[in-house]
Amino acid sequence: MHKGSGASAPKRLLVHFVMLTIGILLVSFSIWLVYLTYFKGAQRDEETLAKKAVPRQEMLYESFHGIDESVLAGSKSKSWCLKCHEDLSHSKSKEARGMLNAHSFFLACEVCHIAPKEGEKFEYKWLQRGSNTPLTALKGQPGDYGGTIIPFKTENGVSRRLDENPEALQFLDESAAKDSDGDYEKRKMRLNTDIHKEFSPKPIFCDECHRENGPLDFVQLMYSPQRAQLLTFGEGANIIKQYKDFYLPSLMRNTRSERYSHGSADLTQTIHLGVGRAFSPERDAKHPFPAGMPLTGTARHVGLKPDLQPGFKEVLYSVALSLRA
Amino acid sequence: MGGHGNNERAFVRLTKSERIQHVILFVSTGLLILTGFMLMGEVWAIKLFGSAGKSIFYWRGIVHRIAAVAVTAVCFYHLYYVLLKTDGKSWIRAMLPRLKDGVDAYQNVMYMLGKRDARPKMDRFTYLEKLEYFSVYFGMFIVISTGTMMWTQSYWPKFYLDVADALHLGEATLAALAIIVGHIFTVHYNPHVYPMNKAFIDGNISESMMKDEHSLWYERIIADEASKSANTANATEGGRNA
Repeated sequence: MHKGSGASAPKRLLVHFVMLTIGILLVSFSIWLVYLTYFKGAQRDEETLAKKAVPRQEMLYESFHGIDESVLAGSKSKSWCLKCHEDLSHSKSKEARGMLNAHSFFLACEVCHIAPKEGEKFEYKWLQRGSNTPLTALKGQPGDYGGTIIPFKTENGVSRRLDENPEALQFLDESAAKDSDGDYEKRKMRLNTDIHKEFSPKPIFCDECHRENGPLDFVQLMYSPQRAQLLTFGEGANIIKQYKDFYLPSLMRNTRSERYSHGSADLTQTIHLGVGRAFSPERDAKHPFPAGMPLTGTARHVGLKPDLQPGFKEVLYSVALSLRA
Repeated sequence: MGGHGNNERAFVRLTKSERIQHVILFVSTGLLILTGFMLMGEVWAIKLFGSAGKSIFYWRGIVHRIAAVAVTAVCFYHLYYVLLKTDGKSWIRAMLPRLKDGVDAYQNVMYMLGKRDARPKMDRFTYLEKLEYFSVYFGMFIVISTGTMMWTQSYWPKFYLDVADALHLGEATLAALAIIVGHIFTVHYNPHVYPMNKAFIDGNISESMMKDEHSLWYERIIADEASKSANTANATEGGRNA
């Protein structure tokens, strides 16, 4: 504009240059803000992303406790294990029994309690409850697809359901009928050994399935790729990995210092991508991210989650430290 | 430049206290916008920080909180200023919305559409300035309350925190855009003031700009001065006669 006559031409040019640079920066920043709000902002967090990616009824975005609905509905087909064991068979561990019993509504007991031996591979299939026909798709609430995952073992070219043992079943029925028999204790012991001979002394633990390349192939079990991701890397699966001893009191404790101690994520190494997946360049080179999986990555997910950010005391402490240094 | 000519008379637009408040406000708001939107940064951009990223993001949180405390403090001081200080009281009295603001807005739009020959005569604060001023109240109420919630997040249910997060981000985006598109343009890029309106530094507004943008205020000041000097003259004369 008509600047005062005192300003020289180079100075005026400099002013124009600075103002133009700042202007371009500001305009780009505004455009980025508009992009964030209207184009990217909508899918900035895992939850909205997951909601977008997965049909609503298939998504446990509320929490994995949505499983309760199927627990309320009850087990629709009873395993013959339940002839002796109770409906809610897992009772030993107070901390884990809820989760384990919830799983037994859609997993045959043998999925966890018969571990494949070295080099052995079981096949897992969804069979419809009652009719025992294979499911063609998963419909309904998570964990309540109307079917049960059944393990199959191939022996001498014949595929056998591991949760069925007609011989033992017959034996069991006989024993129930002949309870009055004086030989009861002896019979019971034999039965016990016979029925349980295939069972592993230690069951398969949660994180042996909820991981990459575990015995259960979630995609083959007809879960959507997104849900399979969630089962492999999602919040629930991550909790299992972090808290193997299921020491829930510590998990539920909400003190800041405790949460701090878990916030060790390295920014350059760990960037959350997609549905709760921790991204690490090394690991991803080994196990590439599934194609078609939507990626999200915001600084919000970069290790330093909001709850790992400093509180008032930490702010004062950091300032004091830096002043002293 | 429209204003600040060498031989022009200058009027006080901003007192020293107001200028200091403004400096604290824009420095801390700038820091808040910068450190806040770093959280929304694109992954490739964040990766550029390399191994320093972790400490940069740690300090990002600290700086954001310090700037937040500063901006909160200046807001509360400003409330004290407009409610109890003389200059502040005259400020807020001039700032309060009036029916004339609606008329001004209508007439100004008509002028810009070419249906009127002149802009409406405006007072100390134009309707746009009032709008901008009170939108800061609205915005500050939202960001300070939701920010406090997120800072004290262990005391709140997740649902409220999610709402607070959404509001905080939304209001921050709105404010940042309003500052850039509205305020920065008006005080820097508007041809009347380019490259900047120096009122925030020296607190002065030139006579020509007064006539141009706040003619009603200008006329009132001139009239006041005229009547004052007339009174003084009368008083002096009366004294002589006695």
